[in-house]
Amino acid sequence: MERDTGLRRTALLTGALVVASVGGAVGVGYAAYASNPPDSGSAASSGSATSQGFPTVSGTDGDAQATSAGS
Amino acid sequence: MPLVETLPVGADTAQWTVWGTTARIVLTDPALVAPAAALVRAELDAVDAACSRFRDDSELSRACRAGRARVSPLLATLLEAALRAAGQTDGDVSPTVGNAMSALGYDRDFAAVRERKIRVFPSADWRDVHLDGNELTVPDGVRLDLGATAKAVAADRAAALVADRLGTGVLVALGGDIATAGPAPAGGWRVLVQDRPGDPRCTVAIPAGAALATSSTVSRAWGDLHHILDPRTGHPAATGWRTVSVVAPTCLLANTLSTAAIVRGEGATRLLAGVPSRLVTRDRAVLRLGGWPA
Repeated sequence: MERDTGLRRTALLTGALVVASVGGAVGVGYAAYASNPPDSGSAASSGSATSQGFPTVSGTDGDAQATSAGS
Repeated sequence: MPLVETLPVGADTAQWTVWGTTARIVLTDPALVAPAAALVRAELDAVDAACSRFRDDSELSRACRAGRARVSPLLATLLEAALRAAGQTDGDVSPTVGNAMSALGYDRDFAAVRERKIRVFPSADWRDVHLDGNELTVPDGVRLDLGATAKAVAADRAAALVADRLGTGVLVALGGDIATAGPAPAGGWRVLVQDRPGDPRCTVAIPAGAALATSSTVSRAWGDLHHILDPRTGHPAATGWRTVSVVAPTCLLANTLSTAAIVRGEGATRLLAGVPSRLVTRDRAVLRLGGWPA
């Protein structure tokens, strides 16, 4: 609890406000997958989470310009 | 193995190997690729000279040996970022894991890591490391490792540098750490998020100025170990997550959150509530939070 609170306080200070309250559960779900699967919408998040201060992420069908993987 | 970029390199792109992973830049103005690459290479060289723990002659290595030192503005910036990340995460992301990392065998460029006898011990408390302006004080025997944050800071700095100096939109990708600056292409910067071949994947668009970081327990892994340590134990974090990706206003914040999520394990969903993030379990199920698209 304290760790979450500390992180969110810093996000506020950096202009990256995390609005979700500690107890505010976000609807979650799991996507089915196959051998090399694109994420599919079989069970995406509820979309109800707010993320003020964080950029909006959207899906795209365009060709990727870079890859983010573990490094 | 760390990321090996397989996307094509077009006229708007430059790519090379650095720090055991792939550096890639993409510009909105292809005519500026060459000078942008030169700027980024110089910035990465400066960061490496400042804080590489694989180099005995890095400024950080020398400062740790001395225990007390006046450091350069660049190293002070990198240290401040590392200590801020530690404070934000209550020590989940700590710069004091240098000795533990070495004890686990990760004490050189990843390509040269070999299995060895392991001796594990908790890391020093990050609050015992003091940075007062440019004056650094490190407890005796503590080796700092800025690996968890320095690459993200480098991506943020390099992107800002290119946008400021050359007046172009730019994406800088250092392995999983992606920063952008300046204007974005129409529809945003498009990023493939996939840890390993065969893992679930998705392509997302992020707006101008946004950053995306991915932390993984399967890249930079050797034997049964991986490189994200729980500072409290000195062991690789025991976690149910295979991969965590986060979008944030800066790459430093994105990386801090994704790394802390790995360390926290089950607590990650609370940590990331409201934050655009994508978590992949060890059995490759995908969990999306904070509006991450399906």
